[in-house]
Amino acid sequence: MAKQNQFMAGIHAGFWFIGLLAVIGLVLALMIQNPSKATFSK
Amino acid sequence: MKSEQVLTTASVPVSHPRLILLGLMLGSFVGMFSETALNIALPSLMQAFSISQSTVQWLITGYMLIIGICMPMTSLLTRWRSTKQIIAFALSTFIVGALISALGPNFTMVLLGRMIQGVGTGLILPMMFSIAMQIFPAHKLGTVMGLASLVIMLAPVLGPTVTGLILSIASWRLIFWLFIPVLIIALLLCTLTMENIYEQTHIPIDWWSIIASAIGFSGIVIGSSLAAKYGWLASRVLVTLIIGIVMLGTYAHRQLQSPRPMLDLRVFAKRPFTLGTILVMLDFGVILATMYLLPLYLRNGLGLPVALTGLVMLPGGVANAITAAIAGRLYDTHGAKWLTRGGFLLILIGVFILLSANTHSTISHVIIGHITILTGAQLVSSSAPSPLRLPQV
Repeated sequence: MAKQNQFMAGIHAGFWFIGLLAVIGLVLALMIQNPSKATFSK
Repeated sequence: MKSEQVLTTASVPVSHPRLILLGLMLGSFVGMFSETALNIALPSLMQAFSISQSTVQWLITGYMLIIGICMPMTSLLTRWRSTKQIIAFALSTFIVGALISALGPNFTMVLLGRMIQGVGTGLILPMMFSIAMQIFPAHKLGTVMGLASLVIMLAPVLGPTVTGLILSIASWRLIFWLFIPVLIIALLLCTLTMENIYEQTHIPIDWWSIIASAIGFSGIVIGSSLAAKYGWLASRVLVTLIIGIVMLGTYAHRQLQSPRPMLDLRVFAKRPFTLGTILVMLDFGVILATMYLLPLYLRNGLGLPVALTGLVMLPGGVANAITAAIAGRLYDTHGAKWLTRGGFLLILIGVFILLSANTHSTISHVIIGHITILTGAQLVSSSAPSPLRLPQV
């Protein structure tokens, strides 16, 4: 049982890590500016 | 007139650009598919060779380590050897590595084969993008780069599902056998159609840069891997990581000082490029971490049989493919900004769904979390690389 709990704690730590990547990504994504229409239409 | 000509003519016109791209995409697909294909088989391999989780993990980290070491060297190689020679070497190496892993009588041989496969992937992946940029005209680059990105993003998502189905009927060795025919087709396509893309200027080899990058990447990967066993604060982990960081710093400094660097890091002075690159890295991290954790959780946490584990991973892969198909249209109407933000928000929602999972969770709970994460990840990968895809005119 303790081993299983330890295993799940490791899996949850991994999910938190993915969450951290997503938060960093979200913050950086706020800096994105869409290119102007002129760039698209080339 | 001049810019029109630049748009409609490839930098290096070749006779069969589509066949070349197809060969390179097949090779890259196998390389990326291979990154996650073994994840679901790790428990079987642990049992077959009586090894621990931290040991078997080297089949993933060792492979990625070699990819990390080989990738920065491709630019230098193109100045010394013809494109056909490099591609033939990369694909042949991968085939030999797959054969060694498929026939390996012990874990060491399987790992050795796996690391040899890493050489092939480390060379073919950057070459695919680099060659595509040269052999297609600027007005087609958006489509070509989108297609190439799709291959490398979709392949790791499909890995666990396909492997799960294979393992339900055959041994893990079949995974490596299956790579071989696809790689042979890629090799034939490339060797029959490939032309020389780069000029062989025989620029001097900067051995110190090669050593610094090899030790640097090794330090980071080995240090992170050791942390799984000894914890992040263990002295051997910290020393390995510090060596890696210092050597990578030295490598970067040397590239910035050199008039002819192995890897031109000055390109990161362009803010959209840097931002796009970081977002792609984060997105890739999300995909690879999800593809590593979920099969492990499904098999060891929920106790699902291997075939069912593969099937549980399937809806996420399908959602990813559907999103890839419609993301292009969404990109045209909404632009990169909202797609990337929405994508990361979806990933975050998916993470919270999975954080509530435990050893008694239902399969549908996991599937919903998985679909949410992979839909978000595909939205990001379809839009975030846009700074890299815009025509260079």
